[in-house]
Amino acid sequence: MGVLRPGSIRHKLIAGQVIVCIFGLLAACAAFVLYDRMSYARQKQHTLTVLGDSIAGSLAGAVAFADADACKYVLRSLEAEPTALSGVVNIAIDGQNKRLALWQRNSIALPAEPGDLDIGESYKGFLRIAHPIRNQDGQTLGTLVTTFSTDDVDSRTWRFLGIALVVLLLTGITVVLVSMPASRLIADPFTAESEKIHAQLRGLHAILPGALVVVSLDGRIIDANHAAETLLGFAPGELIGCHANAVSAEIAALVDRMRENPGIAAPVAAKEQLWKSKVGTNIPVLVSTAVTPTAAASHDVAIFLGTDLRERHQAELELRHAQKLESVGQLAAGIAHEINTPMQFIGDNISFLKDAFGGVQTLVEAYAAYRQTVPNDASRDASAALEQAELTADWAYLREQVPTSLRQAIDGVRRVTSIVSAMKAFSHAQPGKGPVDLASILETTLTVARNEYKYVADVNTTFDALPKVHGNSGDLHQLFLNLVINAAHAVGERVKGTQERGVIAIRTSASQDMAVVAVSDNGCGIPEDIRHRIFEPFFTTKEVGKGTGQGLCLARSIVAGHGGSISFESAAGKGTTFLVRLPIAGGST
Amino acid sequence: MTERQELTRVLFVDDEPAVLQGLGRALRRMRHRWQMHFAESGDAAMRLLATTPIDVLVTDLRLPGMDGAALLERVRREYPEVVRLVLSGHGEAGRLTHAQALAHAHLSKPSEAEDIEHCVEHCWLVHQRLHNPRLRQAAADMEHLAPPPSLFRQLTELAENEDVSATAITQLLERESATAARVLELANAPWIGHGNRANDAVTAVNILGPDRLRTLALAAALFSAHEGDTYVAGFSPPELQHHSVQIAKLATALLDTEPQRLLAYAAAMLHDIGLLAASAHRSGQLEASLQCARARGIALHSAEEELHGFSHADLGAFILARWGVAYPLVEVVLFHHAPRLASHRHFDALGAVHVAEQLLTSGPVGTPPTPPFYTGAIDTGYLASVGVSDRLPQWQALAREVSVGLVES
Repeated sequence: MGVLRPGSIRHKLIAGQVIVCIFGLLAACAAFVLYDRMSYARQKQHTLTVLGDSIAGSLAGAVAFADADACKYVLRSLEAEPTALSGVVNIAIDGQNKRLALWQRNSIALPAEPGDLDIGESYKGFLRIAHPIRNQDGQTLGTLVTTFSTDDVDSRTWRFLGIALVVLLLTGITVVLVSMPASRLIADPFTAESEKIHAQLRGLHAILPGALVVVSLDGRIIDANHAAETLLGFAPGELIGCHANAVSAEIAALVDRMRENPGIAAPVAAKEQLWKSKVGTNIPVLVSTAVTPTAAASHDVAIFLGTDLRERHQAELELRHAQKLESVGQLAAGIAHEINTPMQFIGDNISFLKDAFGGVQTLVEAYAAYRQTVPNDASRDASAALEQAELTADWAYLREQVPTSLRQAIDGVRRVTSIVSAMKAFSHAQPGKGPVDLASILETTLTVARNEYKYVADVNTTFDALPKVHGNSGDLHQLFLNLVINAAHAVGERVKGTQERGVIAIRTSASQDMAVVAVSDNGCGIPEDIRHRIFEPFFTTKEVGKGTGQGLCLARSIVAGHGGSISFESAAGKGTTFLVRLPIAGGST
Repeated sequence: MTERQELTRVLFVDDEPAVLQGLGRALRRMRHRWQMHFAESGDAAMRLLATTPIDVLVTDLRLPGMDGAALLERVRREYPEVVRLVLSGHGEAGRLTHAQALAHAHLSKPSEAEDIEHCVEHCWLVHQRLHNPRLRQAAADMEHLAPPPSLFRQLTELAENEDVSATAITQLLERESATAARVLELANAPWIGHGNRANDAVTAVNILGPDRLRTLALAAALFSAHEGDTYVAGFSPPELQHHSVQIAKLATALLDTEPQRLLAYAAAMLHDIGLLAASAHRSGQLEASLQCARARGIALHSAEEELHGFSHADLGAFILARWGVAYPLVEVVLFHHAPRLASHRHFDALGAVHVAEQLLTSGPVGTPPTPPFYTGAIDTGYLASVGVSDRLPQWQALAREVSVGLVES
């Protein structure tokens, strides 16, 4: 993070800048040292010339008298000049130069005889200057040749060079030190910093619980996180480049609006939408939208963050359902009481009529028997009237039909009573789970659901002796009610408009530590293409008002809550069997 | 005695005239056995009671003015000899209501005329049988020796004051923890098909219902109430308890429905409560009866009836009735030696307890009968009348399994 990557343009630029700086400094140093060396050498030569000339002036008398000792004495004053190495006084005698006196600094080995060097030249660290010795008349008496060491010039040069190097070094260090933070403070906001943020964003994308979809203004998806791919059933990277329409027409429409009206504000509030999965399922999601404007409007992107609402919808559905059941239960208990009171006297009165008709029948038959025994002549009229009355009352029919009608009425009362008590049992929701008798659950369910199937199907039940399952009776009632109603609808669909009746078969059996309930119908079956969707919430093929698409979804959730499983086999046009497996109580808890 | 006095006088109370008239018509066929009276309110019922002797009261619970529970309360106080029954569309099974604790039996609305008829007849039969003067005299002497189990008594007292809340019962169970633990154990017995598992008192109260809880409390606490008493030679309470538990196991295994199983369980646990009380009383009556039974090789209850005019079954039933136990349970205890006397139409808890006791005490063929538990031959007339004679071999096999401990309670 924040480190320059080798090979980047910025890196080359900075390296170039540093090199140029170093070369510039080196050149400046070299020029300075050269200039200093030259000017110092010239100044030194001038000083030494003046010194030599002044000594030459002092030598004039001694030279005039060719007094070598005096000359030597004067020459010794050269000692004061630390760079003076030697001084030679030459006089011209007979056109030839002759050495009159020589001063030489002790223990200094001259590289060569003074005469070997040209005057005015420095050679191998030596500077030799010739000074004419003139008398007061200006007549040249001889020459003083002084030799100086130029070591101090060199050492000064080296000293300067050293200083320059130190300065260069310091400058270099300063440049490096300065260039480090500078590379961060100046160059990074555009490169490393943004790369850093980008990396952070990547991480954020990956861990976001929501499905993130980034759409460019041309409507193409340019980014999508893993959650989005999982939610919508796409392979990794498969969404990139797809049109937003593939996910949601609403998203595509919003992006279109953004493109046509630059600067339009993104919707602030999160909104519920339906997104399409790859296989075409509608998934309810809560969508938050953000728009990222850049300097160039054409680079705008819209970011959509979708939260999967399926679980929440399911929970809400179940809660609503539970509330509904609860209020229905309360209502049912109240209605049951209201029904029970009239049922009491309806039943009592029918029972009375049955007893009474038995008596009446005995009575009428006694009359009839009596009529047979009375001589016809004695009371012919009365007998005829009796016979006529029997005919008018249709006694033959009554005698046969009234007991049947009363028996059926009593059956009806019993059935109402059992329906009411089933309704009470059905709606009496108890919390928690315990051992539940599946056969009694199924029987109550069939009583309650009778109206759903009785016109289209006959019900066959085969209940194997089954140990109790571990479950919640209210939930299990609901589960089997849904399956029975579905079976009834499936049969109804197939036999519609015909005289046929279908069959709903309910079978229970035990398999290892599971109880298995099979609810079969010979109805219309489930078409192949929707089999994978039948457990989805709100998925229904039934007409509006008949199905809410919640039944099987709820069934699956109930079965899962009981640690069981639900599966089905179906053949289109032949029927469907739903298999529910539930753990037997005590088998596993 | 005139014929008129032999009629059972039944008073029906309901605020719906149609219900009363319907009952009157449907039960008209009982006119040779019953004299029926009707009242449309509690006050009307009380006025009628003041002027007319009544044997059985059958009342609805929802009444204008004085409600059913208040009526039952007053009748219990002012006319304790009247059998009190409830016929209501309200009583939820398992709830221990004020009214339920006050009534001898409970019928739910709608009930068929035949069921009402049988309930009235059975309760009246039990009531009359318990009016044996020699039994009453003996029971009055020993009543102090057989107080109702504490948990049962407190649950009943709670219910008599108001409808019982789960909280009150839970607090009670916490105080009576020893009995509560046994009740909880019973509440989870597999034959109680309440569909839920109770792991603590609160759950037990919620799912079992106070009424069933009260019955179980009675069955569970009986023997602990008699610990420390001394008994006559011939039997010991632990032996009796083992005997009762065995019968309970077998009797519940013979029945199909949960309410009947619960009834059979409680009745089996309590069926010899009269023996326990008589033994603790040490009046010498029990010893005499035992000697007689042993000497003649007859059942103890037969010897008791011969000597004293009542058996330990009568005594037990009497004690239970005094405790306020509902008549269906009292009836099983009362008639468990001779179920034919109760003239039931179906094989139920009464038959199951009878059969279970007979099968478990008769011993191998040829061995001499051993009082006190030997109770004579099986009531084959009864078995034939309820049409279960053919099941006897199967039950005998089951009894052998129970006696060697193969059947779990």
